[in-house]
Amino acid sequence: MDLANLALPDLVGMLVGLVLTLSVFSYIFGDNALFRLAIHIFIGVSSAYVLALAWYSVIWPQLLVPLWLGTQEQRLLAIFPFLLGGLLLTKASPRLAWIGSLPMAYLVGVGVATAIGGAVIGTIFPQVAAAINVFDLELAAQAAGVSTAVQLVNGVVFLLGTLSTLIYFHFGARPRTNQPPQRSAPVEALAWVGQFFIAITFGALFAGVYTAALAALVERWTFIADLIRLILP
Amino acid sequence: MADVRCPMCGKSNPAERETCQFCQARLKPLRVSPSGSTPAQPTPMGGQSNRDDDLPDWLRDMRPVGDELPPEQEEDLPNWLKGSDATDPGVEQSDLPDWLKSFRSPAAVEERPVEDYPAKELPAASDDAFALPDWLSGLDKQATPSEQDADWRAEPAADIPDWLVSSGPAQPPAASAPQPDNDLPDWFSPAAAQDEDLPDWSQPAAAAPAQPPASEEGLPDWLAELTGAPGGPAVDDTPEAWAPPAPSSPELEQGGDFPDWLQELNQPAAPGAAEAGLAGAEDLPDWIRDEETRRETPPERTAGPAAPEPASAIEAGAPDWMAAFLRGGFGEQEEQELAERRQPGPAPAETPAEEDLFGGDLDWLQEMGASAPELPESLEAPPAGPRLTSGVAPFAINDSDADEIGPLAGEQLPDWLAEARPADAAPPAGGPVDSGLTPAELPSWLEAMRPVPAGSGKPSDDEPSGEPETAGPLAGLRGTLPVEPHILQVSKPIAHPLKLQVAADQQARAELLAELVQREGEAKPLPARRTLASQHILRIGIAILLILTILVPLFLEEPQSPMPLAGLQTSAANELIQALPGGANVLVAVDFEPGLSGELTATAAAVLDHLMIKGAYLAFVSTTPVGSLQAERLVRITNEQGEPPHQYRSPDQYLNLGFIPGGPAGLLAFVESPRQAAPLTLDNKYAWMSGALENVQSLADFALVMVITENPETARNWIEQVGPGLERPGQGKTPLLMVVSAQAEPLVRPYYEGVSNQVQGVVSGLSGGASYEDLMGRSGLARTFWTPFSLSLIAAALLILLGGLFNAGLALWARRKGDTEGEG
Repeated sequence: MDLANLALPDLVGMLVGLVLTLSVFSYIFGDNALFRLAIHIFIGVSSAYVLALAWYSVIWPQLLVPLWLGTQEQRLLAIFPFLLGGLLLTKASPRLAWIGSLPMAYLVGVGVATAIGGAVIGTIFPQVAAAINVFDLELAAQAAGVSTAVQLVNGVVFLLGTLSTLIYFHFGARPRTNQPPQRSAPVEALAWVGQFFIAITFGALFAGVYTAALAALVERWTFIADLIRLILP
Repeated sequence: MADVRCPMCGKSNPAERETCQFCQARLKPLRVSPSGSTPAQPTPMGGQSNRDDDLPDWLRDMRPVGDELPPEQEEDLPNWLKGSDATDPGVEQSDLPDWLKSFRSPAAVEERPVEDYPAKELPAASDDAFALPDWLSGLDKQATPSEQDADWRAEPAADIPDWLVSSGPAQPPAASAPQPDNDLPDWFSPAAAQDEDLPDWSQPAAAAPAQPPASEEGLPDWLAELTGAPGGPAVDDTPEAWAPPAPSSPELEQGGDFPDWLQELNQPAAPGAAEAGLAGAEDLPDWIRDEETRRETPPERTAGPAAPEPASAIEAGAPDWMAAFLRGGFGEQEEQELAERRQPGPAPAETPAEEDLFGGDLDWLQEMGASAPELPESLEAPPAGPRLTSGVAPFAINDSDADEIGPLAGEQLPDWLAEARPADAAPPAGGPVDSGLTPAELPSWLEAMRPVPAGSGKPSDDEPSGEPETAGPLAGLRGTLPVEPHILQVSKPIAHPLKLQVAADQQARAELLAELVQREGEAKPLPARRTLASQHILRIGIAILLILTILVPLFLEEPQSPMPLAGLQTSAANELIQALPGGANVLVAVDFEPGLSGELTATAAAVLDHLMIKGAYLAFVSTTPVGSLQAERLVRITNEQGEPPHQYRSPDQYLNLGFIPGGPAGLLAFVESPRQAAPLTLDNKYAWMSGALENVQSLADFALVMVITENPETARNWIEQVGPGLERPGQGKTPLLMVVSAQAEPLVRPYYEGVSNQVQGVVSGLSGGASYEDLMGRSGLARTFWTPFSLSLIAAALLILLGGLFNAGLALWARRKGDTEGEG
């Protein structure tokens, strides 16, 4: 890619990207106007884009067009979201906000029901089954491609990690005379072990976040390097 | 109904009002209620009532006994005479003015010894209480009978006062029931009249009989004209209202300064004005003619009850008092007695002589009586309200209070009376003579408003204490409510000493406390933040190190890091894609934000490149607003990085279904009915009508579902909501592939490694993309980024390690230092 073959919009886009990227990097020297300007531009552009997308991708094609130009069935299906959406607008007025509680209740109810149903069916039951099936040594060893002994060790570690982590978040304690409440010794020991699993998990998450951020940094400096090469061949 | 004029403010008020609506003054006088007196009790014929016992003999003698008019003659009498025949329980004989009382029969005068007339009864120059000259006082008091006369006319015949009874024809005792003296006002009481308080104006009247009034030459002209001159005065007014005043100046005597109405009285009266029938002898009423006749034959006087009058006098219908007056007045004994009464009294300089009163000085009265066609309205019909100038208030008050009405009454004299006052009216000689004056009677409300004259000395015991008001309508009154309440009269409190007895140690502690408090308020310089500069430098140093580790391999292209080994999950993903048939429909969910597009674009491009190699028909969808644009950018980058570049174009090779709103619910709807949840493409075209998606009815119809996200929640939503919908009955399950950021891998990996195998392949982070490219033998963004990424990752790891070691060394050094200080 050279500058001669680069289209003007792409060149302008690259220059704007360069300026905004350097503005964000200026935060290395502390909070400054360039950083805040770049942040404000991102927020404004994102909001405007979301509004345009909501109108052109949702409201107009999926609500208004069926309501006005659709069949009778489509109109009936569109009238309810139209009314509920209109009631949501009353949330802007403190005096009429109570009217918007109806569609909000509908949205929250549907959302919670959907999330709970998906969590129970898609996460809890499968993960509980996975924690149990770890000790299906032959099947698990075959799936993991390890030996049964190794799978047993893995199973024990998984079990210990799962139990110790859950026990760490168990705060029930028995009251004692003239002494502060304290959990029992087994629970306290498992909770202490659970701290390590939790720390390792958070370490892994932090490593993932760090690697993801570092990859973004590399991508940006790669962009800057490519632009520099383009301008200064 | 006529309005009533307020005596205080002079404004008109409705007649039904008892108090003035402007000044709240009482309009209707509080009179001594006649009704309170004992009603007339019939007494035996010829008997005397108890009150008659209190009357002086001369007054009792004045009543002709048996002067009872027959009913037919009584009808011929004028109204006021009719009324006089009846007994008025309210107007008793005590109501008789003194000047009329003086018109007593000579026999009665004879019975009264001369010693009973003290010098004080002699005419006084003026009444100090009223501050009026004698002539005016007399004139005012003369109005009193006129006022009463007006009342009598209005009253029924039973209200005839006693003085009319006594002077008129003899009435049967039953018709003239006397009233006890205690019901009479003081100024009306006979004792007041007979006592030392006779006003001066009444003295001449009482002494009038000393002159020969009975004779024709002794009488005033007008009275003389009553006997025969036509056009005489109205008999119903003159005898009562016009007692001979005491003119105090020659002008007044000559009538030159008389007011018009008085002068008009001297004019010849119109014939029609003699309504009493005195225009001629033939027009005289019968009682006057009878009176003339009776003068020639005086009735026999007796000491006892009045003997019946001759029938001729009764038939004439003349009132008794007029008859007695016309008979010749008083006898010689009475005249002598009255003369003796006048002599010892301190006669003022202005006091006219006896001859002036009833001699030549009464010419004006004679003329006035002869020519007055009608009296002024003020005299004929005095107002019902109290007249201060009348000198006789219609209210019953204490005598002591009446002494002070003079100034107020003098100030409210009508203009005509003020003008009628002679210019040379001298003040009374000898100063105030209270004992000789009839106390004026004022209503209590008027008395309460009486101002206290300045310098009047100490208030009496009856007056309320307190300083008198000096201004306003209550000026001069004592005992009024103060304008400023006493509670507001704040006085300065007594200052008590608050000096504490403080010991020396207490004083020292207090000073120490004050010093501590003062120190708390003083500003202290903050310690220098030495760590701020070091952290700032450290941050810049770390940034520079990382940037250098990124830029150096980019520009130098050396050293090149080895590509990472692909993990099981990456290999699984590669195998899944590799297993896809050519032209298979692949649903690609692009749900990542622009912030992590650098990582995910490089990672997803490696997988997408593989799909393009496989020729899969890509259907992009997103549950985040910017996902659609990220999908377009991802396709464009993938096309560019391909070797040779890919030529994926919409809608032939791929289709962007756009944004699915609603989060998990939208995903669930999209799983259940993808055609309704995402009917249109990003450019608003129907997505499911033609092309590769024409046969797709559900998500299970796709050969592969790949989710590109950096958010573990989004990945979990796809796994939870979409995973169950990927089951194809009898055909297995549509594989779910996750291309996630490195930060989401720990949370997505359990879904891959679990026995349930909810996710069949995972490509996570830049390492996953690089490894995938390595698997594919392609060189894409992941490979480009990998060397700087790996170097910067090593540098970051070293920085974390060095930083940890530095902090650990500081902590160890601080602990050792603390232990050393503790031991020392």
